[in-house]
Parts: sequence; C-alpha cells; structure tokens
Amino acid sequence: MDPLEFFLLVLATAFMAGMLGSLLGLGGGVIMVPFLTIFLGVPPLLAIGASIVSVIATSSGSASAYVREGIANLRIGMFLEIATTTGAVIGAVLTIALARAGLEGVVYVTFGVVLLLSVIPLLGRLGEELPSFVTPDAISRRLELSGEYYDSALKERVDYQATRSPLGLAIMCAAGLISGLLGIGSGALKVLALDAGMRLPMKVSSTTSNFMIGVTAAASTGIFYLGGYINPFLAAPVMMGVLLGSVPGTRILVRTRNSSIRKAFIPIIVLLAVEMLVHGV
Amino acid sequence: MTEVEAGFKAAISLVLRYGVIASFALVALGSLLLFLKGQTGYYPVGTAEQLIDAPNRVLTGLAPMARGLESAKPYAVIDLGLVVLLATPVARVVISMFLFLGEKRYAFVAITATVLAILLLSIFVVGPLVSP
Repeated sequence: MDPLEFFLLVLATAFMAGMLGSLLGLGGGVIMVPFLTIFLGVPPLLAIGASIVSVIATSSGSASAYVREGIANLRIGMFLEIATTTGAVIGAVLTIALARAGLEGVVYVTFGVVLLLSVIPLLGRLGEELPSFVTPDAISRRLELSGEYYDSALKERVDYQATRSPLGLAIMCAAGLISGLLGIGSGALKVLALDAGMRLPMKVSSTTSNFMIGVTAAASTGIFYLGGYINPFLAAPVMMGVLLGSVPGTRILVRTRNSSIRKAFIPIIVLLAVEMLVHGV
Repeated sequence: MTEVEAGFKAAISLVLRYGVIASFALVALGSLLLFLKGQTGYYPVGTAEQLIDAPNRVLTGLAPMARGLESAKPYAVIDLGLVVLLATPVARVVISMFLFLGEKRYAFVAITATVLAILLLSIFVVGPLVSP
C-alpha cells in the first residue's frame, strides 16, 4: 500500500476513534487497536505501542483542564498511581513476553473480554453521584484522602471523603495491568475503583481517573519504546488523529446530557470486541 | 485551595498543556518531513508494509535520536516528539512532589517519589531488559 495513503487512512480513523472514544469515555485506544490489527494487519504489539502513545496525549490534554478547575484530586490520584504504574509495568512485560512466545491469541482474547466488560458502565451507573455517610478507612484517614469542589450544576460546595483504600488500590493495580497489557487507558476500570470502590463523587472519579491515565500509560510506554514496539510510522498518525478527535468528542460529551446517544454506539464496541475474540481463538 | 496549591496546580496544568502541544508539533513536523523527503532518515520510505515491518532499533535511545536530529532525519523528529510526550507525565509527577514538599505533606512526598521511581525504573531498567 502507498505509505501516504496508509498514513492518511490511519490518521482519519484515529480522528474518528478519538472522537467516539472520548464521547463514550473509553478513550481512542479501544477502537484503534482492533482497527489496526484486524483491518490493517498490523502486528498487535505495534498497534498497542501506537495506541498507548495516544493515551498519554489525550489524558494529559484533558487533565490539564481538570487540574486547573480543581475537581481532580491530586492526592488520591498520586496515592493510587503507585498501584496503576506497578500494574502497567507488569502488563507491558507480560504482553511482550506473550507475543514473543507466539501467544498473541491470549492478547486478542483478553482485549475482546475487556472491551465487552467496558460496555457495562455505559448501560448504567455503578457508583453514586454524591455518596453520603462515607466513613473513612485507616489509610484514607491518615493520608487525608478527602477534598472539596464546587459543583457548578448543583451550585454548591461538595465535601467528600474516600474509603476502602485497599480495594481501590487492588482495582487500580488491575487497571494498570490491563492498560499496559492492551495499550489502552482503562479509564472505565479506574472510574470503577474510585466511585464504586472508594465511594467518591462521580465528578471527582471521572476527572481524577483521567488525570491518572497519563502517568499509568507513561509507565508502560518506556518499556514498549525500548522494546522497539513504538513505530513512528504508526505512532505519529494514531497520536495526532486521536488527540485531534478527542477535542470535538469531549465538547459533544459536555453538551449532551442524553445518554441514549452514547448507547447508540454500543453495538460498534460489541462488534469490535467480538472481532477481537474471534481473531484470538 | 491555598495560594501555593493554586500556583502548583497552574504549573502542572501548563506543563501538561504545552508538553502535549510541543509533542504534537514535533510529530506533525516529522511526519511532514517523512513524506517531503521520501525517506525516514534511516531507510527509504518504500511501501507501508515495509515501514511497518522495519525494525526501528535505531530509534530506541536518546543518543541515536540526538544524532538523527542533527541532520533533521524525519524519524528522529517524530521520535523527539514522542519522547517529549513521555516526559510530560513524568514532569507532572516531579512538580507534584514539590507541591507536597511545600505543603509539608511528607507522606505524599514519599508516595510521589515512589511513583517517580517506578516510572524511572520502567524506562531505565525494565525497558533495556526487553530491548531487542
């Protein structure tokens, strides 16, 4: 295939993936990896390497805004990043080892399963918008894993308190592992750890999760980079496309309160998941 | 939010923003050079399949990248953009450490130092182990 044609095709697809990914809150990686591997025949590790680079870009870009607004909780994020970065290092090493052992099917199947599971949070919320009567555990009391923010929709200051830190750490370690293993942000699992696990308000969970994704992805990117799996010819169009697409995607997400629009895209995700499963078996 | 905290948060926000913008600009410039010159700087462009299959070992380090930049090799420019991107979250962690130091939250200085250590270990210890 002509390199320029290929480059532009990947760039355009990455733009759509970035838009759809940020609209669904899943990130562009979950769409880019299946597209590159199944439709363009790119080896899985190169697709994962290109995707994880775009994950750092989109997370850092949006985290920049969230930190300024003061809703993302830096302390809670930092504390849990110990778990996500550890998981990410293990995930990256594991996926490289699997691919080198010729067990790429395992990576495909895991990807399909994770993609199917990530649809669940889109169907209904697992956490609470504003949890009440939260009693801190020993760790969150000692580290003051609490905070406050001004809720512009409710027009009031919201005070919150984290709890069940060990559970949060455990889910975050799994989130990091999946991020490193599959080259995705695994934001859905991070949000789960924060809202359903540590009972933080929805807004704090989603912004803190986003804030953590970049550092988590950085922990595996160095490994993929030195392993020779970040190919500039793939990483460049994927990173630029996903980043550009996430800008309008986030804008639509902020404007639309209607979740039915988001649900309309669920079949696409399910289809990609099934494709990955079939490819791996 | 205290004034010190607000200042640090503004700094973190700026680093993240301009890190991503600088990285994007470099990657875009490198991509442009790739197609204008018709070569990666290490081998001719050829077909898309050849570019995907090519082992990019020349790019797995700062020293070869720096040498490539001297002669404006397209791949080296893209690579610099990717390294800037990788450095962006790492810089965010470093700034956070100073924020916690300023707030005298020493437990968090230790937590942040641990995260920084894991990041540096991944790049300087684990990475070279999987290097081809």
